[in-house]
Amino acid sequence: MTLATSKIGEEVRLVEVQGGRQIRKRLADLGLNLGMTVRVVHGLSYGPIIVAVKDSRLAIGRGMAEHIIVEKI
Amino acid sequence: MAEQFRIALAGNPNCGKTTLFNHLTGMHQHVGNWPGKTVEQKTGTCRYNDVELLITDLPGTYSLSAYSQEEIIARDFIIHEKPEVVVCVLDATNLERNLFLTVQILEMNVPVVIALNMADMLHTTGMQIDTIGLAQGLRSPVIYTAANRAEGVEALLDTVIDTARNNAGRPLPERHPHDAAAAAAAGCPLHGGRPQRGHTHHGRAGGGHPLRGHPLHGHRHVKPHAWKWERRGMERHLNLHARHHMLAYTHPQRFMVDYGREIEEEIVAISHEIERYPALEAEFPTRWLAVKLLEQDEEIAAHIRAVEAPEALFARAEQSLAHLRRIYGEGVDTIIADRRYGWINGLVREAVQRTHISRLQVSDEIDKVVTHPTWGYLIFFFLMWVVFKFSTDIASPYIGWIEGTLSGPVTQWIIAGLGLVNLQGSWLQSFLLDGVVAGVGGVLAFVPVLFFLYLALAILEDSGYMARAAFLMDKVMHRLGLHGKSFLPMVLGFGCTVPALYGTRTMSSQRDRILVGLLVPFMSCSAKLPVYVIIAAIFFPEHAGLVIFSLYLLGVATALGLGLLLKSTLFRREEPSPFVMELPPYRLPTLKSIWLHTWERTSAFIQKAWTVILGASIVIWILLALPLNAAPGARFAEVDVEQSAFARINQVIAPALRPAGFGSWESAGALMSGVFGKEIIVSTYAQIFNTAESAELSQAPHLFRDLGSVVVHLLQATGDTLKSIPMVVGINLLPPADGDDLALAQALRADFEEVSGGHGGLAAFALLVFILYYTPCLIALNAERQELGWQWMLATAFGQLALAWLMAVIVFQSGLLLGLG
Repeated sequence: MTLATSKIGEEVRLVEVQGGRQIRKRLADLGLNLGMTVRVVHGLSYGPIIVAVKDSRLAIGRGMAEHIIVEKI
Repeated sequence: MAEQFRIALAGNPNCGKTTLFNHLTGMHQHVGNWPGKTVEQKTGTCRYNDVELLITDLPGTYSLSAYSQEEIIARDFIIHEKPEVVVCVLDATNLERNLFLTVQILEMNVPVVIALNMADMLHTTGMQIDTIGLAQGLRSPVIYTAANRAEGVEALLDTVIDTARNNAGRPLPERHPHDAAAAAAAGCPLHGGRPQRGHTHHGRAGGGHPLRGHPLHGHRHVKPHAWKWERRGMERHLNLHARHHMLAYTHPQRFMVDYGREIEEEIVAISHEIERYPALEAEFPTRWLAVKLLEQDEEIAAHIRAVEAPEALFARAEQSLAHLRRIYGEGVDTIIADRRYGWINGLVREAVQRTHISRLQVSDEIDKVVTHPTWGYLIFFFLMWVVFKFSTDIASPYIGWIEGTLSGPVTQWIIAGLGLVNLQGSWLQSFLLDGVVAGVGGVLAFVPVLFFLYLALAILEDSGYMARAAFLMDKVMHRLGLHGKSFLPMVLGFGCTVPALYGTRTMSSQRDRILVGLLVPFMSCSAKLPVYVIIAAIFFPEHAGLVIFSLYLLGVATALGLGLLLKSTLFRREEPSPFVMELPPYRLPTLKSIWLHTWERTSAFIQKAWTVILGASIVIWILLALPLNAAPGARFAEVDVEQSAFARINQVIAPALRPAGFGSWESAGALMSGVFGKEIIVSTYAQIFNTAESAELSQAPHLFRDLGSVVVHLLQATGDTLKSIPMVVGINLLPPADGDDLALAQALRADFEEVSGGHGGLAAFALLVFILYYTPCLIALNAERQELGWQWMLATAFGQLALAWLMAVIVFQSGLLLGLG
């Protein structure tokens, strides 16, 4: 499943980021490294989502979220 | 000469770094660009206890990889400029993520002082940070600060200077025992009246558990409420208590993150290889360079290839990577980031205690409403409307005051002054009044609108709302192949295209910057508004508001359409950059930061614009004063308008505008002058039809009485502004017409009726459409050249001109066919 299909309130672990090294690195810099746990806080249908990462909140575009593979905890 | 140290401030976006910088440097700052880059460079000086600190505010970044220009700049500065101390500013309430950057800076082996900023918000997170434990782990001093309240700054500066001196091998002044005694005298609750106890302990601290058995760990057991920043002077005690210990860390020891046996082995192997290249060893910290090569940092690779061409080194790095890939799979950089986060996590677990839930819960609750699929958009549009009204309604009394002052007292003083030297009524008077004063007025007339627009936007930005607006708008912008962040430059565009273009700098991909830069000019800027207002009021007195609104809407619709078109044609091959953005917690903005934000943008406009607008005003005056093919006897500055060089030039151009219904030389001239600044269009019409008020001389000018009346009118304008605040939600765009405007109105109506063959209204609407679309002003074009390059600037200049002509012709001709006007 992807971050885009996760339900609001769900805690998930990052398994894979599809796409280039640059994108993977960018996400890691913001605290979204592989193996880390995030919680989906909020989302707009067909729009971006908000995830809780450590003590911060990140907005992630829908297109991006579709390329982040996660697993449920 | 006083001691001098070079200090760099580094930190994440939203960590309060710029607030700290502003506090330290105050008015002694210089804002420019980093050489060859379109990233803002801020430097400033700060004098503290006879030491001069030259402070550079590095761009806010999350990391020091080569993801963006900002990150490369920050990294290069630390490596090549070698500042004496790097101050890492951290948002204490979001410690773990913030430390990711800190660790990367520490790995560069530079002296670092940690500022745990936003300490005043810590109590809301239920976090208790043990600064000494943190300092031990990071091997650098850690100081609490709350830059927005100017707290902890002295302790920070003391520590920075201690660190710089320590590293320069200079002795530290005798100061600390005295401070400690003062703390005891002040009844420091942490020292409990035993200020000297254990002060030297940490100098020897090594091995074993860093926190266990610490004599001063009393504060870990202080009840959470004792940490409330609200307690007067608490910060001073916290820092004072800590600072003696921090002295132990001002001499940096080698900081290292353990990357695990396999990676460490490869780091050692690559480091040995690096040592064979003295030039590389001198330029970079060896271990850091080895890690960067393992991270496959292309920017560094290209740089060292240019310096030394170390093929053996690259071969060695490739061999190491191949080896590591066999163990970890593809993502060696992921493993390295993972080890860094792991190290940070370990440190945070030791040094931070959490008692209760985080304040982000409040933020999340607000977000539920503000980013709600329905309410969120309603709130967004309401706020945008309020911002728009705020900037136009509230500014208008001040615009009136500026115009009144220039056309009243200032004009009279000039005439009186010229009278003293017997030049009254000469060409010089005409030059000063119609050229210079008109030009100055053209610049100043914008300042109130821009100021209030930026003020409103600064409040929304500093409070954290703008990030939510970007989140909401991402859904819409996504369709244009843009992401949410690009919405802010678009909104700024309603104020002025110039800051909007600079606003595109926050976007990381060049493709996005170009796309947004091309769309921004379609947002009707505040200079177009007075033109819309006056022409709509003259030709459509009944429906002026509707006409103006439709122009704004047409501009936005065009931007959307053009965005779609460009996305599927010119930019088809390039992927839109991913949208990932931090949503900072909501904060109450401070007056100082709002003021600086607003003033920075407004003054940037004034600096860029005043020469161009004043110059344009003077050039137009000269062209109007210069006779060309005139009847004999015409002299400079006394020529009939129709025989001036200005009229002759535009008589050549005018026929091209005929299909659009406004092909008179007057309109061509007004539009041409509008290339210097859109608001000039109206004043050119006024100059041509010679309806501009001539200064009244019936009253003898009286300096003091006039100064008094200027002040009284300013107060009146402020009163009007205050009165108009409750009306912000209503509409009151149209100024009451006075005698001069009536004369201009009659002249304009007659001109349009004649040229368009009796369809004056339709021609006026076509003219408004033309003004909406045509070439942006020179100041904006110059900004576009700086930000996007020559070719895009030329594309904008001619493309928009062609589009404007086409649209105006379509409006006029189809109007004729439909029998309108």
